[in-house]
Amino acid sequence: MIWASWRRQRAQLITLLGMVVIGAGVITLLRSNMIDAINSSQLAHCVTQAIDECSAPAEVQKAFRTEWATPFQTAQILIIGLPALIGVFIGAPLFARELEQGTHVLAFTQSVSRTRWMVSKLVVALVPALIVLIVLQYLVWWWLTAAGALGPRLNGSFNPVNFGIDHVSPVGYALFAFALGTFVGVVSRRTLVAMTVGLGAFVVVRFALSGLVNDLVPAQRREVPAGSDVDLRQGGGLELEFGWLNASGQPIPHDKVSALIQACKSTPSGTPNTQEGFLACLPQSGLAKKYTSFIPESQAWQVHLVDAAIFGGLAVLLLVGTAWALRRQS
Amino acid sequence: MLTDVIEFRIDRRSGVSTYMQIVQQVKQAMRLGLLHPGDRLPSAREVVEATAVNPNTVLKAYRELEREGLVEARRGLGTFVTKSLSSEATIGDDAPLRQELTGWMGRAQQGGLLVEDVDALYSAVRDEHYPAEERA
Amino acid sequence: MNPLTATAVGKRYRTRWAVRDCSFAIPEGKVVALVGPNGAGKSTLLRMAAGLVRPTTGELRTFDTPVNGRIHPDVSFLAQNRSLYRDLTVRELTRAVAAMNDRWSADRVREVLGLLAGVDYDAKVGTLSAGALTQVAIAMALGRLPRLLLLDEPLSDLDPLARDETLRIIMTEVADRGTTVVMSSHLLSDLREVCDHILLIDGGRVQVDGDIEEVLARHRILVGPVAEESTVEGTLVSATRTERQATLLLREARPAPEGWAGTEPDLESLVMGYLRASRERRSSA
Repeated sequence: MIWASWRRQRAQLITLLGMVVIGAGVITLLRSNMIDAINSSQLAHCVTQAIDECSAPAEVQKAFRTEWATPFQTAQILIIGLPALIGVFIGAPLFARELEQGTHVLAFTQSVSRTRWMVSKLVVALVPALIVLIVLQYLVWWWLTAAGALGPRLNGSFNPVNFGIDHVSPVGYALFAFALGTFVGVVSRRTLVAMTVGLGAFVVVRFALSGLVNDLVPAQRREVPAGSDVDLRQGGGLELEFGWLNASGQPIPHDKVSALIQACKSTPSGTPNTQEGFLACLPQSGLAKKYTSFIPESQAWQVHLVDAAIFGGLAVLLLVGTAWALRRQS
Repeated sequence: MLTDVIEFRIDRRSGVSTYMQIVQQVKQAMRLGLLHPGDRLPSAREVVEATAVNPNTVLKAYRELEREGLVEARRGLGTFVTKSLSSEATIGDDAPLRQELTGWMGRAQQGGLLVEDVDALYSAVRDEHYPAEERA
Repeated sequence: MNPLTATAVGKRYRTRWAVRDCSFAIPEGKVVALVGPNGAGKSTLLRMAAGLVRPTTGELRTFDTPVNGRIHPDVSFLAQNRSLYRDLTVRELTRAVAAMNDRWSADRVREVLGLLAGVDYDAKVGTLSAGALTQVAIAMALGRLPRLLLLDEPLSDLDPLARDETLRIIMTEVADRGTTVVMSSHLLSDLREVCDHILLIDGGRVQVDGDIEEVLARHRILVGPVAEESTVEGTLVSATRTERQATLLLREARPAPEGWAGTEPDLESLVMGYLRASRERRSSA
């Protein structure tokens, strides 16, 4: 049974294998070229240190960033786009092509059950695709990590692009895209429809749900007195809320805050206020504390897990739907 | 192989059912002395391979022949001819009746009769001597 | 135990009934001609028996087990479009289909593929001629060692030689294993010589069902003067009339009255008579 599924998807699997081999070769080559470039420009210490501690001349840094921006972006787009490609080219045609060409009738009139047939096809199609995705994702991570602060990592884990290619998130998206493709394929019975509708639906859902995850992970909260000059913003963390509290700890509406701040910028006599006068004015106006709630960068893995759980859960629902629709097919 | 002894020719356009054609062809072969008592009729499988007819039809025809006491089915062995329908009058090219008919046919040909005329004459005379209900 | 029985089976697609209130029982060992015009419901009926389509009403049973979305282990189905994996070679296809079955006879498949000219095992299925494709599809069906063979238009698209060869393969199976066969065709002439049982469908309903010899023996065609039609006794199936002469197809007819000529119909005229009657009923409904 597995052999039959393998034989029917052989061309696709060979394409995937080719992608991994070429991808691994290209990324390894780019990475070693990049390391040579870093070393020859004496930028090595800028990889690990914060940007303001990097002592290399600004134009050298700029030149490096400009030169490597395109390869970095291409690699990121590859990992961002791979789940969609898996959905479109592997998930969507998997059953749609059988139904379109009527070859499902052959399988449905043998002793194997429809569900077993479906599972064997799913496994043979999905497992190699996920392996390829994970391998390429790891290779890109390995390369971008070598660039460190000189590369896209500078933007932190919660940068939408960085988040989308890290940890288990790509696997979650791939599962979802794949399951969506198979489901639309079984329902529409048309390969082309499944590919286009599946892709469209994937893109919409992927972006519609991208903010949802942040509300599902427990955030940390910090408060500082109005006059304090402590920076509330966390480097690389994800800020969810920022605002002011009054003396009794109640949040103050944003429009009121901006009016009060505006008022404190000038003295009662109408002249511009001094910095000290401004800071002293704030608590007097009722702006007692600043607060922020955020997810620190060290907690990013939790967000990834929740993200993957959401998309993985949707994928399971869609696969159950696929099995249900296949049982009703004639 | 005994299949070489007799082969059925099923004429799909004749309007006569396959079953009747098989019965008639066996009887004719028996009359002409092509099948003797003890000969085995071709098995249903052999007939099917040669002519693509329904084996059930072949078996049905054999059952009819058995009912008429002409053949006998032996379990696991096949269907065997048990009776002889041939006689001095029908066997061989030199049978007297056949020679007379050959002579008649020759004269008809010389007289310029077409095959349709001959058939019509033959059928008319045959029907006179063998009324329809007797043949059925 | 009947290989196939239908009890008040109906199948509705949206608003149209493809099959309606069909009841019949196929006796074991028969070669059944499932005939009817295009769109009569033959395919739907066979696909329901194979577990591909679920009936809207009623029940189909194969070997006394209800067909419930799954084909019975003793039943094989040949789809009209042959539904084979065209990008595989014959050898690979054989392996793939074998893997999908619990009971499989590789010997039987080899035997069927070896019949006639024989099929090239290394040829891609998609490159085979229509005749060879049908031969491969039938070989796959027979590899399951079925006791009931459902064939949807097995002879369509075949040239006369391939038609004869295909029938020979099917009939050899019947001779060897006593398999019950139900095969559909919109051309009665295709099946006339090889079938001993007829199931005539039109408008989704069974019009004629029975052993062909028995069905024919039950019917009479009477030809006589139109003016004296009332003297004829029997159940009128259909009639064609000219100014003076009436040709009547009757079921359970009494002997022909004076002035009428009666004959047993051949299968073609019987089928034509029933189809004409069914069409008239539908157009008047």
